[in-house]
Amino acid sequence: MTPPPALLNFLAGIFAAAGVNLLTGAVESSSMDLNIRNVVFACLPWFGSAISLAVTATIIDRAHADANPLITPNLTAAEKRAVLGSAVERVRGRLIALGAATLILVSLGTLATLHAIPPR
Amino acid sequence: MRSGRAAARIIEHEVNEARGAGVPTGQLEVHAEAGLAHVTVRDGSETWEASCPVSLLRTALTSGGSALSVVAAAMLGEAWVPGASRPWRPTRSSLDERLVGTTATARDEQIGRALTLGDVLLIGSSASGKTVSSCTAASRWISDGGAVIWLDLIDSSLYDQALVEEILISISRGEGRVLIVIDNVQANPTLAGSMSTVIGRSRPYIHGSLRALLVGWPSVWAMRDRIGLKVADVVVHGEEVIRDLIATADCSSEVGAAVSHLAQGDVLIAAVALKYFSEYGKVPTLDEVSGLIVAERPGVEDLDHASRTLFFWFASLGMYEIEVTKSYAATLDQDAIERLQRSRCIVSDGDALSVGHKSLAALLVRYARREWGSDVGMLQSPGRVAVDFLRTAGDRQILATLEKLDLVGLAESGSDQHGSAFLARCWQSLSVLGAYLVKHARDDPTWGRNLASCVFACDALAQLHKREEWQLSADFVRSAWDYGDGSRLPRPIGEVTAEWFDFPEIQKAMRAEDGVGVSPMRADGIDMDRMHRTWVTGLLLGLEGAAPERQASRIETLKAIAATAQEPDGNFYPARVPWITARVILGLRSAGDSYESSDVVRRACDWLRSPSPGPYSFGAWESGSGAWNSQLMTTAMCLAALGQAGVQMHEPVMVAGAAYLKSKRSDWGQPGSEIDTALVLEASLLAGERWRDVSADMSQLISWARDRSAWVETSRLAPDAGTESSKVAFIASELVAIVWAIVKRELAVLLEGVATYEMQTLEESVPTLDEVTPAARELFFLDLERVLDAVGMNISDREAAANFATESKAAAFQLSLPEWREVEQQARALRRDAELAISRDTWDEIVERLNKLGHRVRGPAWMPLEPGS
Repeated sequence: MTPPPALLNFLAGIFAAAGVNLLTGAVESSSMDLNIRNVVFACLPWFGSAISLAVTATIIDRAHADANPLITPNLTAAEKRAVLGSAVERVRGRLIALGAATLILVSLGTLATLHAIPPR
Repeated sequence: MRSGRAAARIIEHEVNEARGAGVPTGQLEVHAEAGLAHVTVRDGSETWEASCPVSLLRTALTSGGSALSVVAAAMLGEAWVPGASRPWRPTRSSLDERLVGTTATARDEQIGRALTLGDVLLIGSSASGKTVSSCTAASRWISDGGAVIWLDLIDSSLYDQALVEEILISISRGEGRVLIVIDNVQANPTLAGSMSTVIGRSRPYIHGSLRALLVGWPSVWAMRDRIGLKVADVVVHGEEVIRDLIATADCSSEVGAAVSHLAQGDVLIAAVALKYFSEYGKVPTLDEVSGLIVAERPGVEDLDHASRTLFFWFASLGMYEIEVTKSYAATLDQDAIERLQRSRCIVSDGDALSVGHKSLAALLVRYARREWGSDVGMLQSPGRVAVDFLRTAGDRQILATLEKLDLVGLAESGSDQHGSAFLARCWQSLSVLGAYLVKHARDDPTWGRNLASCVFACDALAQLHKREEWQLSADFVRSAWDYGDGSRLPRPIGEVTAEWFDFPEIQKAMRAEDGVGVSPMRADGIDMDRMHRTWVTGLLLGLEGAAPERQASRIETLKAIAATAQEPDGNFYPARVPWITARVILGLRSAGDSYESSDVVRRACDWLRSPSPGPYSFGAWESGSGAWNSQLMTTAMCLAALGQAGVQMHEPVMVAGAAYLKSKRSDWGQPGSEIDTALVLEASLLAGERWRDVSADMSQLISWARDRSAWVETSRLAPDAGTESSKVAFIASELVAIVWAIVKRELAVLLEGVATYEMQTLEESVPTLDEVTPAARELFFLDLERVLDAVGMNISDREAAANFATESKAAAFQLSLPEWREVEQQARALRRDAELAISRDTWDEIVERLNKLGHRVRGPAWMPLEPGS
């Protein structure tokens, strides 16, 4: 079961927005406690995870595009699923790697954010 | 004129000659009485008596006819025809030669049985095997001790008299059983009818049995009542012969059915297809049939470009049964012809070259188009090739070709979309008129000593290539008129000829016209003898100019006469009567002169089209002969003379004249004015009127000319008849010229009409009650192809998907793909079975299978076929 590319693109947008929000919030803040360098480092994992999700979505899209010409009305539903499944199976390795990278980056981003902006 | 005693001596001499030639002619006695020769023939206990005019007897004897032919002519009341063809007296061996490679069929038995009971009419389309059946019947008849007389009505020089001669020979030989085969009845149904009459009359003289076997195309069926014999009809279906061929061949019933379907009644195709099957083990397509036929001819595949082109040309002509004379072939590429003869693509038949039967020709055209179409540009239709050839080959070839075609069937067919049926009817009428003219020329070549009738009849006979009859009348004209030395008008030798008596009547009409003061040239001041002789000059020019063998000295003499007789202003005496000048122009034109080449013609034409004091006035010409000739007739004749002489039709005088004729359209075809109508038709067509627009008037005129009552009193003089004494001959001549010109121009329409008609006849004759119609087959195969396409798509889609699928997902296709391949096998098997199936029962089962298959492949979208459709 592969996630739909649209959902991945949506999440990529959220993560990218999180990174951007960190930056703009730090620049506008008047607090002298904020270390701008830490804030920049905290943004990078969010941007990385957004890129990772976007690449994942693109890979899934291309897999579907490879399978689509072979899926004709003559095929049964099971056969259509088999064709699609085959297409995804071919990119499974890259998807797993990208998924893992995304999880790591999101984790790093969360930790870096907490470090750069400590809770009051 | 010879006396009866002298004629008897000559006949006795002829009889001895005939005996010397091994013909037992019995004993002949002749005596003359009151202008009639009474002929008695005695042979054993048989005696026949007949009478004929002594003049006829003399003509026959001096022309070299045998005594028997004279008797035959006398018995029938017909004249002897010099040079007439003899029927064929086949021997058994000569018939058996024709039957080599053929197989006796059940139909032959049927014909044999029918002949023991009475006369038989054998009809069938081309290549249905009727000639083989006729030969078989004739061969059996001979082997049973009988004699056979074979007449092929395609031979235009065959007359019923020849049949009488042969029957007389049979009687004198004591032949007890005589079979008369009349082949190709459709070529001349009229002659077939009169031959049937001869057979009916002769029956009492044959001790045993006299039987007739008439053979013809399906169109003969419609006219069998006209044949005059009670005949048992045997309809030849090529399918029957094909079934017999299949039955004797070593093949399964399904193969036989496939061959039968392929041949569509054509025995030639079936025979070749069976041969193909025995060699290659499969039923061929038509292309393969044509390929096998060509393969049997060595070196065809290696023919060069010129030979291939000629091959296609000969085959195209063969489709219309056109044979190319060797004299014409001499103008073609001789190397190519030699190569084609060496490879047996064309064969020599007497004085002609051809590819053979029309079915064979059609297959060869098919082969040439398929194999070499792009090489030699063989996109031209065979019909076009035939028309082009006929137009260059000349009238005689056109006549010979049209006589072979089934124009009778076309003429009587219901539809006439392009006018081909009308043209065919015209052509038939031409044949009838030709027969009337021939009969009249034989009965009375002098036409009641009427020079004008003789000349007009000769004109028509020359166009129809009836040379012997032309000669009979021309001899009379030349003996009745002295052409002189060119310094004076011709004059009659002895008594004046009958057309002279028209002129006093013309003078009376002119006097009546004088009363209203139309012309300054008074009727009583006109020298009618000079007028008559000037007119005769024009007629004689027409006769000599159209002679089959032109004699230059006679023509030059007549031209000199015309030049001398011409008035200084260009007219021919009298200026009051322009149709005299028109007649001389027509005569000079016939003799080869034209407006461009002859001063005499140019001056005459210039005078004719000059307004007052010339004869032309506001688009029309007054006759100058009062009510004897109408203004319409005179205008038409002057217009025709000017047009034929070469005056351009767009010149104002001609345009106005043509417009005048059109304006008088309501006067065309009036009863009693048939001469006017004939001339108007000729002039209108010359002026560019379309024949389709005047077809009704033509039909009316043809009906009048075909009515025998018009021909009964052709020798009546003008004072008795109240009209021109040469009216019948003139109209016949005009009609022959008009129809002949139209037919030559519209050959393409006619040939296309024949081809279409034959195709329709074939299609109508193919379906039978227990066979599947071509339409049902077409529908079935269309649906089957759709199913096969769908199956093919399913398989190819799954194959592509299975190739794409990873190992873990491939299981989804492991079951479905073999299933679809199995469906494909079933569909292909169904197609094979359907190609072989021909009976209705098998077909219904096959349709059921298709419906099941279709439903499986296409689901609810499948529209099932009705088994009974």
